[in-house]
Amino acid sequence: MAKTYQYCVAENWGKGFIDHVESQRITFAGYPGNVWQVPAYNKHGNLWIAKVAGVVKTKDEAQAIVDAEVQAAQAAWDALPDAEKAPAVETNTRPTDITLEE
Amino acid sequence: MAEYKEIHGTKIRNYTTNPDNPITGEVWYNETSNVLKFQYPTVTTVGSWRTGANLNTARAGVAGAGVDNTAALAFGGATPPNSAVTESYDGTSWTEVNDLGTARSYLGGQGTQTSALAFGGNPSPPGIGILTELWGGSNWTEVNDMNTARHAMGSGTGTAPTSFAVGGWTGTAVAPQCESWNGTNWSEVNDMNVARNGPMLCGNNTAAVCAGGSSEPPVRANTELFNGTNWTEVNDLNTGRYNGGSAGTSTAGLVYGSNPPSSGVTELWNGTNWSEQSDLSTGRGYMAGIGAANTSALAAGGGPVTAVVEAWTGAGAPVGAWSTVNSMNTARSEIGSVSAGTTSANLGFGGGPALTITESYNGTNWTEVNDMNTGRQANGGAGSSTSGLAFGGEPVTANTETWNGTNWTEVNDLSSARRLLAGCGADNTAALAFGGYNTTFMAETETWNGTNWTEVNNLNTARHSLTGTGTNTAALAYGGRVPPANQTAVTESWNGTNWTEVNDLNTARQALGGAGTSTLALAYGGATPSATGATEDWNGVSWVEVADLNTARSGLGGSGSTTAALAFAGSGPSAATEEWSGSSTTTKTVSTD
Repeated sequence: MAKTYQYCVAENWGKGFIDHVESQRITFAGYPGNVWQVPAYNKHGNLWIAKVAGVVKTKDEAQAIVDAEVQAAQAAWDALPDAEKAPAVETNTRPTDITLEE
Repeated sequence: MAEYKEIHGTKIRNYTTNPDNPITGEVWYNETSNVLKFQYPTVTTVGSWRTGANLNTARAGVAGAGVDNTAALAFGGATPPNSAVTESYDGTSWTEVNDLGTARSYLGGQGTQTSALAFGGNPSPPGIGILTELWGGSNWTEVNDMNTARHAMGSGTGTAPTSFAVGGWTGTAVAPQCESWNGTNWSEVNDMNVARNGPMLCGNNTAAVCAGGSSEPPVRANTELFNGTNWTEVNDLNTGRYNGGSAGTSTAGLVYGSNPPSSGVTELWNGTNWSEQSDLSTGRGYMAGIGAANTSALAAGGGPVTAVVEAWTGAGAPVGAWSTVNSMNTARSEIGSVSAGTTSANLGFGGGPALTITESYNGTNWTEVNDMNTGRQANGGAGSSTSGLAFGGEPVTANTETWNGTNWTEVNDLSSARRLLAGCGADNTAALAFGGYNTTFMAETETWNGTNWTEVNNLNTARHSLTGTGTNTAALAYGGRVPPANQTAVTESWNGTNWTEVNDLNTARQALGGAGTSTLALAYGGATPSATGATEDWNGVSWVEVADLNTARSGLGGSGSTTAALAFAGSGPSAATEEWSGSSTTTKTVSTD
C-alpha cells in the first residue's frame, strides 16, 4: 500500500519553522518528540523537510520516538498526587497512546 | 520612460533563492532558477454560501433590495397569509422597520437598503398585481402602477430608478410583458423571445441577463441578454429551473435555488457561460435575492416557508493559515491565558500540574516572568499582557490574582469556586467569568469591576471546558462539555445583561482555544474527545471551518483576533506555539512566455 504520510524529526527554531504559506499548502501534524507528519510524495512536504533539516524516519521509527515521549508523560502523570489528577471531569486525563498512520 | 524604482519606490533585488519573509506585492529575482518571482495574496478560488442571521418573520415569496450581503432590505411575502413586514439587515441581524402599504407576496423588488421599489404581487385580493411602492429609507410610499398585473416576475438587481420587471404569472397565464421603471412611470419594452414565469434576472433596465423560468410547461434553462432595447438568446443554464434568487449584473451574475422542486443549485454567469457553484445549504425558491454584484449576495427567506438567510461570498476572499513559531519554555495543558493578548504581546500562566509558572510572549520568544501566588490549572483568564487577571482553577478555587505587567497580586475571590471555567475582558479592571465545574456543571456568570466579582445572569447551557472571547459587556461563549460527558457546539452571545443562544460551532469540542471579540472570533483545537486542530471563524452570525492548527491539541491557551491570533501549550503536554494569519500569501513566478 502506498504511503499517505512521511515522518521526520525536526526541532522547532521559532518563526519561519512552519510558515503561513507552507501551512496553507500542506497539512502538518506535530507529535511529541519533535516528530512531524507531512504528506508523502509531495513536493512541498519534501521542500519543508529539507528547509528544517528534518531527519526522515520510517513510520515505525517515528512511532518509537512518540511512544517514548508519551510513556514519559504518562509516568509523570502517574506520579501526580491523586488530588491533582482531577478524575471527576475527565479533562486532566492521563496522556493517551498515539498511533501514527501509514 | 519611468523606471521600476520610480514607480514602486524600490529596485528589484537579487536573491540566491527567495527572501525569508517576502511581503505582499514584493518582486525579486531568483538567481538559482533565473526567474522573477513575486508575493501574491492567497485567496479562495471558489465562492461559498455561509449561514446568515434568520429573518424575524419566516416567509415565502419575499422580495429584497440591497447592494451586498452586509446591507439589505426584505419585504412582503407569505407567511401565509400575505405579509407587509419589512426588515432591514446590517450584516449581523434583521430589524423590523415600517411595513409595506399593502401586504402581498411573490412581488418584485429592486434597489438598495435606503431606496427600493416593491412592485406587483400575488393577485389575491385583486388589484395587488400592479401596485408599486417606493422605500425612502424609513417609509413606503405608493407610486404609479405597473401596466400589467402579475407576480413571480424576474426583478432586477440595480438601484431603484433602474428597476426592471420581466415575465411572471398573471394568475391564469404566463406574462410575456417586460416593463421598465424610469423613476416615475412604468413603460413596456420588448418582450423576451421565450415568455416565462419565475425567471431569474441579473442587472437592470439598461443591461440584464435573464435565466430559467417556466413556460408552464416546460421548465426552462434558456438565457437571454437585454441591451436596453432587445433580447438576444445566449448560452443556457446548466440546470433548468425557476423561482430562484438572483444577484449581480448582465456580465457577472449569480442565480440560486428553485421551487418546485426545492433546490439549492447555484450558478455563476461570466457574461458568456454559466458555471456551477456550491449549492445553498437549504434548498428553496421564492426567496429575496439580493446583491448588486455576483461576489456578495444574500438569499433571504423563501419557500417552503423559511426564515433562513444565507450569504454568498465569491472567489477571491483571503485564506488564513497557522504558522509554527517558538515554543513555550514549559510544556503544559489546561493553561490560563489573557483574552486581550496579541501575536506580539501575550501571557500564559498556570497549567497542569497546578503550576504557578507565567510566561510572556513578545512576538518572537517566550520569557519566564514572575510566578502566580497560587498554583493552578484549568483556570480562567482575562485582560492583556500588561493588565491581566487569573481566576478560579484546579485545585478548585475561587482565588483571583491581577497582573500589572510585572507581578501577580491576590485580590477578591470569585463568588463561586470552580475550575474549567472561561473568561474574557479587556484588562484587569473589567472582566467576565462563566461556566466551569465544581461538583456540578455550572452556568454561573460573574462580572469583575476591578475590585469585586458580582453574580449576573447565567449561561443558558451549563458546561465546563468552554472558551470565551470579548469583554464584560459583549462576549461570546462557545464549546465545552455538558452532562453526562459530551462535547458541545453550543455558542452563546452576552450583551452585558443576558446570554442568548446563537449558531453552533460545526465541530463540538471541549478544552478549545479562542481569540477575538463577540462578533469576530476564532475557535481552535480542543477535544472531540480526541485532540483536534480544527479551526473555525465566527463572523457575528455563523461559524465556518478554516485551516487547522499544525499540532492538534486540547487544553491550549491563546488570544488575538480573527486576523492575527496566538495558540500555545496544550495536551501532550505541549509547549507548541502557533500564529494565525487571516490572510496568507503565495510566491508566484512571473511568466514571460
